[in-house]
Amino acid sequence: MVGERAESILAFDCGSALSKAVLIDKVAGEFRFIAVGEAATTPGKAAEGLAEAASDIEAKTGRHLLHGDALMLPEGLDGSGVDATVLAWSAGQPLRLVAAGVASSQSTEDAAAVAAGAAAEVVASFCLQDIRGKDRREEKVKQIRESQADVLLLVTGADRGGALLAEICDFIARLGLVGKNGTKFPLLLVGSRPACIEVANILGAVLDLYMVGSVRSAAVSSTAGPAICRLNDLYVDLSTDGGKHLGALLGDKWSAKVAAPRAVDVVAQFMARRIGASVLVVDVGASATTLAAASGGGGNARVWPRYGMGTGIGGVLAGTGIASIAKWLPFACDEERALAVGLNKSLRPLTVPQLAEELSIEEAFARAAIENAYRSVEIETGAIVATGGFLTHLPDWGRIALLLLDALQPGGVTTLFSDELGLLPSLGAVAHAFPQAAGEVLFKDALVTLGAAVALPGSGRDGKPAARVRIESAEGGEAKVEVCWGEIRVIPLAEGHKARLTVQPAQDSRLGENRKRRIVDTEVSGGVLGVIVDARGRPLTLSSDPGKRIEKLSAWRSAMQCKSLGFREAPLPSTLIPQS
Amino acid sequence: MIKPLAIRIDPSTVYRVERHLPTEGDIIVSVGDAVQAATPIARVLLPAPPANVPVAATLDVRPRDLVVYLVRQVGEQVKANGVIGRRRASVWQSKRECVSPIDGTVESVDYELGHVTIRRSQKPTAIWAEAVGRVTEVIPRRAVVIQTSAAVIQGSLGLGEEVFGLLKVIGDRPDDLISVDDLDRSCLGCILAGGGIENDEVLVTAEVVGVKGLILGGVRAVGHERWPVLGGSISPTIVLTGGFGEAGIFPPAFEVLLRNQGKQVWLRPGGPNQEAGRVRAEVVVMHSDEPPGNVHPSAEAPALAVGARARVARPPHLGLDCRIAALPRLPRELESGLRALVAEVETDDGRRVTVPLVNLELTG
Repeated sequence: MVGERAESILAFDCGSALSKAVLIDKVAGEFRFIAVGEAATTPGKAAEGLAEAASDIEAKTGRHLLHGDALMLPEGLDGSGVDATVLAWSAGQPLRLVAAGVASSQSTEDAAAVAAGAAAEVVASFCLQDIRGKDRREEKVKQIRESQADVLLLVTGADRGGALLAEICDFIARLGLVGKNGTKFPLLLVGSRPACIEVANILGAVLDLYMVGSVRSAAVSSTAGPAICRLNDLYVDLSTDGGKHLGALLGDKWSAKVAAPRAVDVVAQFMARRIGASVLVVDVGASATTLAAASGGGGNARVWPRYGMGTGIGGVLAGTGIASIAKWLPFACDEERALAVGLNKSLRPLTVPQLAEELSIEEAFARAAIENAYRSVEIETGAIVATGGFLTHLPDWGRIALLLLDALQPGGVTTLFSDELGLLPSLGAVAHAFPQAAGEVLFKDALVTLGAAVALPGSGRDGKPAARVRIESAEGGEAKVEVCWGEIRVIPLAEGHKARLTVQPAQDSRLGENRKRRIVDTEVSGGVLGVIVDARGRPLTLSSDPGKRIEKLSAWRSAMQCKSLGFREAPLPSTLIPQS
Repeated sequence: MIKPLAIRIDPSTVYRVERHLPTEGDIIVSVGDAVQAATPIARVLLPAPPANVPVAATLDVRPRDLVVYLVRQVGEQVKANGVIGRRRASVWQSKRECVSPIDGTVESVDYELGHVTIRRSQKPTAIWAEAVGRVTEVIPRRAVVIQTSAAVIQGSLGLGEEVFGLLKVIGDRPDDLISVDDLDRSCLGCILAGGGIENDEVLVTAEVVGVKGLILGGVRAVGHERWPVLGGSISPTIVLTGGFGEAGIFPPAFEVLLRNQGKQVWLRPGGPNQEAGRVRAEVVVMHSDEPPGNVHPSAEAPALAVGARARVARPPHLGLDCRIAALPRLPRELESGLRALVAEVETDDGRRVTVPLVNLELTG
């Protein structure tokens, strides 16, 4: 609850493969990150994995957090325990949703929009047309009963109720749906107030009703919209069995329990307001991928619940095909091997690639997952943040930046960030109860600025000069670089430094729509990599010739100072030296 | 710190069989009772699908007028072929009757479609112990826990339904593949164990000759579309002890299988190892010849320590059977560039290699 006071916070992030505990405490009057603990998520017993993650922090910091299996709350005079705990949850199976509505398009479209904002999938849907007529009605009843649904979503829209709504409700009542362990089956009801009252009168006695306002406003605005918000809460509630899976750890003393997509969305919105630009957070977890986009006017998170880098690899394969994955491999590799690496990762999500080639194969899966997910949202963005178990564990910043540039292909100038310690979901949960603490830790401790990426529009013949790039740092340093088509150049500009960036087309070169004038003249911030000039063209196309493709992929990795695979071990870029 | 997973490969251990009833019912055993596989432990009323009878259409009357023609009302019992609706003969119409196809109770009447729903009469069904051992716990109306002595091997992936069958090990080496030539009438009702399958035809033939299940070291990754990890379905039941692209059953597991050749084996497919909310795939051989009260105390899960036995779960040392020789305290940089806590492991022939800690599976 916002308004609670806490000096020390333990934020948990319970994923399908990995459980994390993040300790935040006040240092010199400010909230700061202290330590992170990790443990494998224990199947069906989330509290065990979370307790193990907390005990990992105990081992690292010497601070006592647990008394037996339970957390110590509040913080004691001797510094043991914490004042508050929050949880970001993404460990459960996706919610299975049956969508119902009066009109067909309304029910399916609106339900899909709501389901996309949470870890949920629509397993069956029906409207009045589907339940009129004996055969259709019986077929629908069979489909719904066999769907093993967790939640029924009824969208009435602006309908005020009446005979049609009563007919739908009558059908729902006759389905005889029963929730887990014999409890009432949950019905998420979205619609006008009179319609909600009418449905409550008919179904209130047999189903567990959750009522929210119109879905239209929710679907287009953000996950904070009431329907998506409610669905996320239901996801946490149902997949933790009403909190029983967490009972041993803390009982019901959580300050906030939030679904991870909502947590990530909150962080995206906070960042967008803070930096004054649109933000895209890319969260690639073991079982799901979330893209949360936010601008000053709100946010919108979209979840792909079976699209991840662990148990979700099967979904990536099914969604993209092995060819879309193999095209990103910077070495010759047969299909069998790439598939085996991916499928074995789905069986053992916590294992790590010991060989460089295996890491490259996993990266290729991640590229394909993000590329495919992003294709269906395509948002203009000024900043991209990489988070989630896979991206945050990559061995160097160059790899993270290159993966984002390959998969998302942002245009114009984009600032790239990495959530170095994988704190974002936890901080999103913290933000629900302690926004000040979340904000302070996010910018001081969590985010690493990789650099500004400048993508040249259009395309040209490889090796032909594309543009002249000039960077003038605020301290007086200057760098001029001529960039050729098909290459990436990294110009050092240290984190925290600002510079004026100008890009002009090279002689005989056209950038975008026949433009010969200066196309970029803006201020950019530096990062641990610097300023990345991406002249590979938009859209990025890879050669169909395997040899040429591998050569290019290797050159791009080399330019981004990626480690291993025989690439040069380049030192990190130094600060642009001011010219005296 | 993320610790390695422990996997059970145990020739003889205490095994808890949790027999959950399909629906709530009467449990007829008590704590301490000795049970055999065919001992009934509970009686339940299994839910049966209702029958929808189109009474209005059969009688050729309007659905909304059905109330006039029904001779059995909601809540009343009906017999199979018993009349539930009747239209009397008149000047214009002949007499018509509509009968129930099943024994049951009239559950509801749909006056829009003219249907009568009849809930099938439920008969008590016995639930068998399906284990030899002693009842150690009874969860009233829900479940019975039976403690038994068994050999247990945990797998990395299980596909299909739970099955019982006689264990037949193909070949005498852990990496011997099962070929079509190995499948004949003697395999009917059996569970076959082998390092892998020679080709996809083996799966088809196995189903045709009536093989109930397969215990495999690994399978090829190509053709993955059929595996339920990608949403497909498969028959017969398969338990993988290794993974995709891996050849051979882990040698200690193969030894346990060889020792139990010809015995009744229980394949329990679960889900991927670390997927929350799911259970591990297991191969269980219950020792029916061992007296139920004579079981050994439950073994602790193997702990991460120098000397513990382990299996390497990823290349370049995939499938290596080893012993942990040292556990360095600080992370090391791997060939891939990742930094991770590692273990130095040693094989029985003295070969020593370094592997990331999380790539180990503790076996004992």
